[in-house]
Amino acid sequence: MPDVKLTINGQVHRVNVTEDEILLWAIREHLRLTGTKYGCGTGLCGACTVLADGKAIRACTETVGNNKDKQITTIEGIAEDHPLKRAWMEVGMDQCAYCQPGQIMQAAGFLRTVDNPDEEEIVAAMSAILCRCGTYPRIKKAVHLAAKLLRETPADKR
Amino acid sequence: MTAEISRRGFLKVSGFSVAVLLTSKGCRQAVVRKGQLDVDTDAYPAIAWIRITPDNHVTVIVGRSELGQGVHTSLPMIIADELEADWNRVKVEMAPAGKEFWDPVYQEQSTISSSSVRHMWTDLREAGAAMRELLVRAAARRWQVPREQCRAEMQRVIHAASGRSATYGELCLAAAELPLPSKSDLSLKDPSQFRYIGTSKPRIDIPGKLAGTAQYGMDVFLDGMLYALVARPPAFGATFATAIGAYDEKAARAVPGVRDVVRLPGDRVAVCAETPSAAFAGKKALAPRWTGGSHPDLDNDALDKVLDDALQKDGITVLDEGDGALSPGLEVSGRFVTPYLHHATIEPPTCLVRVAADRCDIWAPTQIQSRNVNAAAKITGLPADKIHIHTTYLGGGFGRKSYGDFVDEGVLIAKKTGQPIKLLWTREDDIRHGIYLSSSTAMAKAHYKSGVGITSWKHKVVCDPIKWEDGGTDVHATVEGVINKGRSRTYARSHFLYNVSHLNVSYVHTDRPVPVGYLRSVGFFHNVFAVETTIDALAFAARKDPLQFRLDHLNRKQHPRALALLNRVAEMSGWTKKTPENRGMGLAHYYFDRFPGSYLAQVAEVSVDIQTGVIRVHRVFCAADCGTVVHPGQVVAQVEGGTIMGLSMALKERLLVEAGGVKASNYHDYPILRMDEAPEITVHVMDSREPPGGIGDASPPLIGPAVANAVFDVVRRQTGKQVRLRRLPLTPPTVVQTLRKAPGS
Ligand code: FES
Ligand code: FES
Repeated sequence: MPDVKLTINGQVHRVNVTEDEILLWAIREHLRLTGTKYGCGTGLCGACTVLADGKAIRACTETVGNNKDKQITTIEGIAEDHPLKRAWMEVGMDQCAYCQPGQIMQAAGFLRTVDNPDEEEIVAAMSAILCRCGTYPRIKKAVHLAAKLLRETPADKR
Repeated sequence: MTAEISRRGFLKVSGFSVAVLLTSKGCRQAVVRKGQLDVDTDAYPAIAWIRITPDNHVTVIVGRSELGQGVHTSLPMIIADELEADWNRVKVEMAPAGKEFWDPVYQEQSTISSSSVRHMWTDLREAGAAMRELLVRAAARRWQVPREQCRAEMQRVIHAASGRSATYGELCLAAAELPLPSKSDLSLKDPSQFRYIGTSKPRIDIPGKLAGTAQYGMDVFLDGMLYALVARPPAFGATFATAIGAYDEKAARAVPGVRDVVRLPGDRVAVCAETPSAAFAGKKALAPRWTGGSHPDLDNDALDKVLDDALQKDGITVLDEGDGALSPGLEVSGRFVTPYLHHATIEPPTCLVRVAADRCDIWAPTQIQSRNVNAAAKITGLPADKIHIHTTYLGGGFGRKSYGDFVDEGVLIAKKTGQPIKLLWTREDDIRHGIYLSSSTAMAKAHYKSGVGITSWKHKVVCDPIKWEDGGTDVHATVEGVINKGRSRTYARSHFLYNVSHLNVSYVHTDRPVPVGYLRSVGFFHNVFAVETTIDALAFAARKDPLQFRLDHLNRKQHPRALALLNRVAEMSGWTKKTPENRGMGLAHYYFDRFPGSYLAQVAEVSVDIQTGVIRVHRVFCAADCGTVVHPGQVVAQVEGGTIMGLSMALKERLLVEAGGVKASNYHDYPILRMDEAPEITVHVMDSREPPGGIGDASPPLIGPAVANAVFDVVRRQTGKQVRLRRLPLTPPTVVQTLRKAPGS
């Protein structure tokens, strides 16, 4: 029986897959953490974005094997009162929200690298994630707000 | 999170409900379900719109799909308002498929054409008011006081004289014993009494979606389910290359995890496997071969050529109104071209289906439950009432999921394999096997005479028509945005915005192999582009300001609301102020005349790189008058989102066709707008007591013409050249080419 260890949201899972299994399928179809979405399967849309050791990656183009020793964070691992989710709620992503887990995870990775981003930096980082419903102006606003909330949050609570 | 758990088994519920049935004549008939129910909650709400339980909760059962347009919030708000419910005690459920949830106009259960609020408004209000009346009567009876002395407020009935009050929960079982009030006994609120309508309640679906727990189409699981992927012919009309052996079934079955390979009609073949990856590997191993199809040389040029030729033909006249004999004056004419477009929802089509001997269950992100039921009944041989649709959230719809093809496919495979099937569509499947908005061409020729006005407007539209499954043809969709043809033969009248002495509208229908259908805003998308850039060209020829020219020639009698809106958007955008030399401003407005209609106006501020032809849209100002607004925040969101989707379609999108099939396959060759191309958008929603109109479908068409008009403005001011963009998408090469050929001023 193939058996790979994956650490997701701080929890160790054993998944019945081979190491070359696509990370996205392991997360959402094998472990049923369905907040991580499929959109294109080729790294173009960002719907499947998760964090691997704090860095935003596209789970659809990654293998399980490459990530078995990393800390994976998915949308389910971002607490409801986390600054990112508070910012998203506050701004109101009033569309289908299918892309939003990917947007939030991309922002999470991005905001680990800069704590007070300007507009240009936000746009550069967030343009990787598609939204067909057109929430871009709101996402821009939400990332600004999340950055501000994060700065106000003690480091151990982020 | 399996489907079994989410169905919540056989919960015991005590309570009652009002069901509002829509009969074939469209009238309302209400039925009370008695209290002390001991039922399967899955089956029970089948005919209910509202359920009140002794724990003092109100549950609103919504028959419309939540595609992101917010109907699971806005429709319950309408009921809750008339019911005088306490919003904090209101829950919302997605309805099963049922006649009780039919659209009163379309006579089917569907979520299309921005019809949810505009068609359901009155019925929902009456349902809420009927329930409120019942509760008030129950209280009056209990307290032995005249009904007139009791009133409902925030989920309580109050008898002020005696200081008594009771919650809806306390009254619901007694209310269930009473006969329903007749329609004439209902008192609908005066708009000044609205408590929720007109406010922006937080969307009830968003927290679960951000938590990652809300269920979209792919997020449901069943024990023993198999993943299915389907290989479909790549070219239009293609068939398997050989009668047998066109695909390697043995090789596919040899892939570990593959459990079944089934051939489907239409020369498709499905691979079913225990995991997605096994299904992918199995599909690859199939290595199917097809013929080159019915039109092996078909490409975009060939498809355009058909339009070109058709434009030369005499069209079928839909409207010929007014006097053409007047001396015409100066002339403006233009030939328009728009491409095939695809919905490209980030969630591709998908479904989960289980077919058992006595029932069929379908979990799907669908916009068209009625059709899904009928088709599944036919495929499975089960009666329609044994088909259970569990509508999940939709990761965008835009009309794509109003087609039943993908659900039918899932049902077929589940039936053939006897296994629960989770059908996956890859992005490639989605883009290559879509139902596209038809490409089109149009010729608009208009005349203007100083002192007389617009003397004539001749408009010919060419595209493939949308055909209905019953054999009908949607001519209305072909010309909507120019005039309102009406959906029946007897109804044809002009909703043209401008006073024109002679208006002539015609069309030519082409018939090409690319499947076409409904996509958000449909015919409005290309027709409004043509009308609103032509009026701009006419204004320029007449040496008038584009705003002033529109105001001067607006048919104010028929469209008084458009006047206020134009003034409003001009004010918002600082239209009369001087713009910097390197920025251009463009205006467009229109009447979205699906009844009751909405008006929109938009100004775009753009710059153009003259060397590269890259258009940059900086700011967009929108004013919307969609009548009475249930949820202003949602209207703003729809206008914003529709503007961005419309800009994406106008600037970037064009379906590539090659070798007789769709060549485009993913977001690299069917690119959609990204954040770095998105403008800042300001939206103003007008106050209105007119009946509520649609907004989701209404919002995309203006940005294309507004941007094209703004490009004209800025290029002329920067270079003196007159660049009229009439070919979509407005890609850099198109801009550069037009610039090269443009006349100077
Ligand atoms: S699904 Fe991974 S980037 Fe689109
Ligand atoms: S919110 Fe629908 S795709 Fe982004």
